[in-house]
Amino acid sequence: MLSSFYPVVAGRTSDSLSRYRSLYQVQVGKLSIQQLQDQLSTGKRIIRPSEDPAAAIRAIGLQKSLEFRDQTLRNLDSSQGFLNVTESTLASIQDTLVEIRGIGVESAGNLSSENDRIGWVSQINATLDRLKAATNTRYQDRFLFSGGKVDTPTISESKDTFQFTGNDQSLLTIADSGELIAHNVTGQKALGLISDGVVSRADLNPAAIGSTRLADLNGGKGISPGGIEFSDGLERITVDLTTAEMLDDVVDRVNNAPLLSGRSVQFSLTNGAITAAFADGNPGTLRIVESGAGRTAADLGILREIPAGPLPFTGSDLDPILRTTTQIAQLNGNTGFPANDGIRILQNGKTYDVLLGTAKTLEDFINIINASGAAVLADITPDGRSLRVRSTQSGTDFSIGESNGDLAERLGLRTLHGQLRLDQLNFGEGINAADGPDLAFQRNDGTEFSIDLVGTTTVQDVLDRINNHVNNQNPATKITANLSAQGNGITIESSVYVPDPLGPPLTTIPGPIKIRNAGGSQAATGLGLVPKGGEESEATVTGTTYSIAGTDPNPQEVKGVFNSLIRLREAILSQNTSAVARAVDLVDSDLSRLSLSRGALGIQQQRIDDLKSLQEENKIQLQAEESQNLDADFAKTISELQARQASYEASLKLLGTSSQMSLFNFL
Amino acid sequence: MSLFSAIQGSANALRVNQLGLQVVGNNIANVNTPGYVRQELIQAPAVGYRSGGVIIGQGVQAIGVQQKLDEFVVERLRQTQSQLSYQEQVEGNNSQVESLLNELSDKDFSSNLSRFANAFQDVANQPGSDSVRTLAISRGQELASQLKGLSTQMGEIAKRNQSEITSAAIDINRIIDTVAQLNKRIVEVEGGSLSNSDAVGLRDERLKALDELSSFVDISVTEQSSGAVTVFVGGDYLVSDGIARSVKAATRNNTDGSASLEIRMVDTDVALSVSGGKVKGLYESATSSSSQGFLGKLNALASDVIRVVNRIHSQGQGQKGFGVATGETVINNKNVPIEQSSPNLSVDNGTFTIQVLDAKTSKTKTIDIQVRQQGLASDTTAQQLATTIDGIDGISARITNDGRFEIKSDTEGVKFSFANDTSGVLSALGINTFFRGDSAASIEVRPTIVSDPSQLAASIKGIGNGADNAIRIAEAFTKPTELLGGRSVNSLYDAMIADTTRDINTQKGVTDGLRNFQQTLEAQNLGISGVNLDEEAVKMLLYQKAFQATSKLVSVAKEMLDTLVNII
Repeated sequence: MLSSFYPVVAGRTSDSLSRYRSLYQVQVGKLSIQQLQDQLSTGKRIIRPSEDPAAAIRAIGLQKSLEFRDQTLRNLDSSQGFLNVTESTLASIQDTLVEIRGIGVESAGNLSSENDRIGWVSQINATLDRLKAATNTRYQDRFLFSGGKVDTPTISESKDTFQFTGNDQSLLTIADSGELIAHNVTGQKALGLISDGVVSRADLNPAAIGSTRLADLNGGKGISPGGIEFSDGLERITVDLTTAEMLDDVVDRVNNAPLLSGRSVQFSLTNGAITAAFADGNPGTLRIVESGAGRTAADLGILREIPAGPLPFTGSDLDPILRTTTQIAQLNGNTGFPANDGIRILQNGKTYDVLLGTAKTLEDFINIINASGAAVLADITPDGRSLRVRSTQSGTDFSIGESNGDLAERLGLRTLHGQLRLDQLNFGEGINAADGPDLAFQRNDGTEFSIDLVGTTTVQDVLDRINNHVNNQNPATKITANLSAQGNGITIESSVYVPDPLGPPLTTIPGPIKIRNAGGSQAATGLGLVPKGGEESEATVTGTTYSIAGTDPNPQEVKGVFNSLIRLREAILSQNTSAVARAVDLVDSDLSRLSLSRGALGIQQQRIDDLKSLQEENKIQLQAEESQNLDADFAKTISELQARQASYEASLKLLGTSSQMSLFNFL
Repeated sequence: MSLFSAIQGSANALRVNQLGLQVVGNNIANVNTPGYVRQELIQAPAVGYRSGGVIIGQGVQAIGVQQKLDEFVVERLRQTQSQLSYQEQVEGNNSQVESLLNELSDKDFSSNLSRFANAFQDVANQPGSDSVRTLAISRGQELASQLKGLSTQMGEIAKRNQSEITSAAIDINRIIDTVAQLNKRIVEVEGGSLSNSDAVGLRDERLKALDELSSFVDISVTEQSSGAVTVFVGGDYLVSDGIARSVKAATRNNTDGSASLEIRMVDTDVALSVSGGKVKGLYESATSSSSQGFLGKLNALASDVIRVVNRIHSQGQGQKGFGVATGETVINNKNVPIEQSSPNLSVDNGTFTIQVLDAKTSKTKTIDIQVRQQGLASDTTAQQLATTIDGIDGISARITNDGRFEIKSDTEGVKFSFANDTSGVLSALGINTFFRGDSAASIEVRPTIVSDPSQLAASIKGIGNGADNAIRIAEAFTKPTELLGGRSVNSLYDAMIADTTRDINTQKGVTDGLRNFQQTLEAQNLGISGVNLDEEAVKMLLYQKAFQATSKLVSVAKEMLDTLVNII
């Protein structure tokens, strides 16, 4: 800012100085008035940042915060719009389900009337159509329940089944700096459109290889960045691994490191672990420790503080997680699985055999499963530890068993397996065992024995109870029970009876082995050995072997609204009271899931409301602060303008008066 | 004898008083002439003569006409003027830069940054909306266009500055020629006069010329006993006696590869050592258009925006996969580690993922590609990378004849996408990037994205799946990111604007201070050298009275002579 005044130099003055000073004062006076006028006309105290850098920089920061705040408010408004439509759609779905539940309850005790059944079924069909339309609701270029696949309808219908075609991804928006909120509810979460996963129980035990990322080691925990130090008792070298990305990088850096007492240290990978030795292959002392306070050597499994034992030294297993790029050959501790092995998926009465075949990577195998024709979704679990297969088809059972070899068992994907608890079978219904004998067998010689399953808790217990039963130890008539080698379920077998010429004559008629429920027990049905509604199962003969191949009593299903309705429809049509009851329970679960989802949605909407009001307040504060820094204080500016005007007027008057004065006037 | 002497002495006095009145008249006449230095008649008693035992005075004599000037004040004023011209030139330049940024308004650069980031938030709000994607691309174009505009405007300012340097050289030559000519004439007119300012009008002109010269370059002026001045700039003289050494504007090659004009001596081709004046201001303004100045900061910011947006974008997926992806970067040598294959490439040791999707079978193939940059023999070259990618079923890769990395699907139904690039190689090669270019002048949205908005890589969890990558791009503007050394784009801009604004403000303060000081010195100078009409009126009266009294003396002497004559 120019000073409007500068001192008169003592001693002498001149007309040109007076003129100069007057002009300067007029100039400065006019300029300052213009500046004040600018402030009044723009309302801004500063027009350019350099006029007051501190305030301007604050104001620029505040303007950016305000622009960000405006955007987050727009985000919240947009999210609220989507969530409101989602909420109203879910409310209508819930109302529809409540009506259907009424049908379920009504039909449970009265399935005999065909007219009633036809009426109920047609109501269920109409409801399914309504549900499908509601699930495929589209709002502003988005299928509401399709997760991340916003352009894809959520569900498609094919031959009375409904298949989920979206995914379970949340769509996020920025609610505040560093805070993201979801602005969608996925069909899976609200309506249940994907089954629970059949997750591999077995450790697939992938072995680390050169291209394995360090971040994937140790169960995904990775490697602490840092260096490792080698010493041989005489010298020490340090190898920095900070920017190493893969195990190959670690090996390369160590193998190219400076010599240790004239010898090269050599790293290699052996069965998923690092092996350390001297490159010349000769023995020696090799100590491997952390460089500084890091944990890199320990994380790589090669910490060797006491260099005892001969070289080469092999570290511990690096335990990488599974990735789609993991090679099949890496699995099972670097031994892989036979290419001819496969798994069998049974869904909606159809069989899909999936052989490992030419699959080189897990992704190839996943692709084969997903492209098998079964409506399933195979992937790796988010923690990277297991393979997972889920059904996307509502209203059908789905089961995984063996196709060739024991791949399903080794991958831990069998839906029925030995460790499964009996009370989990049949959708949690158990096997309905009773006091006393549960399973009645007819041996190949026509004799019978029965087995009480009391005390058994797992499928394996049942198999053991049958195989080890005291009345089932005669090799000629022995019945053996095993998990099916093809498909899934329990298979019981026995050899065709060969009469013993030396033995006593039979009082019974030999024939195919049979199994039935004993007494009031439904265990044989519960174990899948006798068809539902059937009396008994009789073995078929192949060569010299009788066998009864049971069905999988632990099928999986999508637990969701479409499944429940289809199950209810099936139960009504089959006049199965207990199935109707289960379907009503499923609808109850759906209602409870919907209530939970709507509750969560309500909380989310409430949170958005809170965030909005908080951010509106914050915006007002920011605006106030911006105004304080940037805006002109009108009262102050106007009074200053008046003062300046008065001062300017005085200058002009003085200029006019003083320029009149001259000695020449008096001559 | 004595009466005649008295009349003779009076005649001298009358002449001197007439001269005095003439000087007063000249001063009065030039009261409004800019640069005029008031004059004063120097008079002294005429040398007396001995008449018997007494020495009789011969009246008064005019010694000369002297300019009333304080050389010290004039010199300081000139120096101050030089510094002020320098600072005013820089101030003018800064003011233009500040106007370009247009900060504190709704159309400023920071608002454009916010609009760009906000547009990506909108993409996250409506991942399925093509129009929102198109808007985000438009915002990118606006940002690029503003950066380009700023760069162009800075170029224009630089051009104007350069042409002003050429004009300054012409002006300096004109002025020093004038000073040299005036030197000659002053020496001729004064011829070693005692007053050293006899050639008053010429000296006024020379003073004005020197003042004008000082506004171009900081000069030091030494007056010789002959009345001529020697004018120095730094260690070189521009004028000595009647000799003027011409200057010229010549091109200088700067260390950053740019070129600018400077003023050099014609005879020696040595640059003038300038530390003040408009020329210094023009030099300094030129640096604001260089890598060290504002343009450098702007380019650094543009480069950071390009780098961070491209790095994030290159790891995302659009609404559909690529059939062909061609890099923007020209690879000069495909057989050296990628980082060295072209200037200014930054590639880390890492990996990236290519996912190949067969649309017919819906089968995907994910391949991790290693990019090794460890300073070892195993480091990946561009050719090796191309060979590795070429080995993937369904796609092929090559380095084209014009040096660009190209990945192509083998059949129409096969598409591919990229993800998880920890090496930054995709961004460095210009594959799947949002922007192309590396500075404010060259930034633009990649044309293939402009023509096909579905290539906007808003997703990170698969083709057309959500818009998490859009959020990552938006967040890079507000949240610290490792890609920018723990800072956000906004904080980088804040730092740049804070630096620039503070510099401008500081410089403005210096200029205002100098302006006030210059006013004070000018006042001091005008106080000494300016004409005061009242003072001149008094002098006029005094000369008039003296003339009247002298005339009376002549009259009395004549009467006395008449009396003597009448006695005869």
